[in-house]
Amino acid sequence: MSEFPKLRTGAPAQYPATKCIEYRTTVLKFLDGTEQRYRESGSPLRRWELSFRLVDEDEAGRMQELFEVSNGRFGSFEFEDPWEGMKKRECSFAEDEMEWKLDGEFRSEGTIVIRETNS
Amino acid sequence: MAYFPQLGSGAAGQFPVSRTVKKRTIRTESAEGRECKTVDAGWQEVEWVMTLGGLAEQERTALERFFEEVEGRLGSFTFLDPMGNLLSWSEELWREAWTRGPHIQLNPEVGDPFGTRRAVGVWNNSAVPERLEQALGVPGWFQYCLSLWMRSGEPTEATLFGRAGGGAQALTVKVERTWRRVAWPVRLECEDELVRFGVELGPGVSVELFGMQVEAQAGASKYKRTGMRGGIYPEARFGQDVLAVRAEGAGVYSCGVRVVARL
Repeated sequence: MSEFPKLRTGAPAQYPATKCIEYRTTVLKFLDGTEQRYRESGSPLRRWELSFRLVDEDEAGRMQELFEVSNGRFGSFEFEDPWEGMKKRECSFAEDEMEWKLDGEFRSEGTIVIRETNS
Repeated sequence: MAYFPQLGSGAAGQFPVSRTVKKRTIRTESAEGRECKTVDAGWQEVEWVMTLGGLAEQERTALERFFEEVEGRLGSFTFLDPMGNLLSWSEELWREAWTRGPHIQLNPEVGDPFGTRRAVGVWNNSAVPERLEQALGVPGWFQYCLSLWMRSGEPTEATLFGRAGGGAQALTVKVERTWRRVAWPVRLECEDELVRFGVELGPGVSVELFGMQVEAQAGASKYKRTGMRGGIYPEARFGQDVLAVRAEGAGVYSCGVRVVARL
């Protein structure tokens, strides 16, 4: 299985980075104000929004390569949660588009959203 | 019972925090323009929106674990209003929410520090110390602040206390002839989920009390008068299924939280 590349420093991400824990709950509200709640998914989904700045072409290139190999949102790869340091096996890109901006030598920047998939 | 976690500082929340009370009115309008309205009491709801910034690793982990424990919007928990007074009937000390010793006598409608007559005279007409207290279903390990205004005809002393099965704290304060607000931070560090806050008076002591307030934080904020409902919401839940935590720097995090509860 492919692995999400780390930066040259060995870090999986840069600041600021956002991690989302996502549940899917349906809440039915009745006329008398009472509620019935039930879960739509068995386990929470995690999503990471990673912003990269001042990375070089190699680092950006490895991420672009993984994006192409994965066919955007389609493929899965292994990703190390930057918060917990634990590897998540079933992750994929959250979007079918990836944009990288190159401001100069060693000055690439981009934002990547990765989500854990329940398969 | 699950409780929405306090921050490491003992604060219940951070600024900015907003509290929105939502009501629903059923309204019908006839062809000639007359309207008929009914209040739908079952739909009363309160929502807090908090932005928590500068969270340390421990605070971030506690919040994430709590979110996972209640599974987003699915599970309920007890929420202590960060903008509220946890006591109920804060000025009507003779209500059933309050427990008092058999010889404590109350004299309502006494002049208060704001020029109205909402203070209460409290007299211990016995030869032993007696208490006036209210029991709250709140965690004993949280930080609280008990505050109130006190005055007496003659300089005397009164004891403020916070107590639960596994711990107790007390503070004896001087009561002068003029109104003075006393704010006392209490942290019992015990596992009980019923904490009693109140005042103990020595034999024959008479004082006037106003504006009793308990908050789930270290300092006292502006006094909030309460009626039947205090600031404890035992059936609260998250108003969101997604908790987004942003890492701002090394060990510094921020996130936004929505909590809703029925009134």
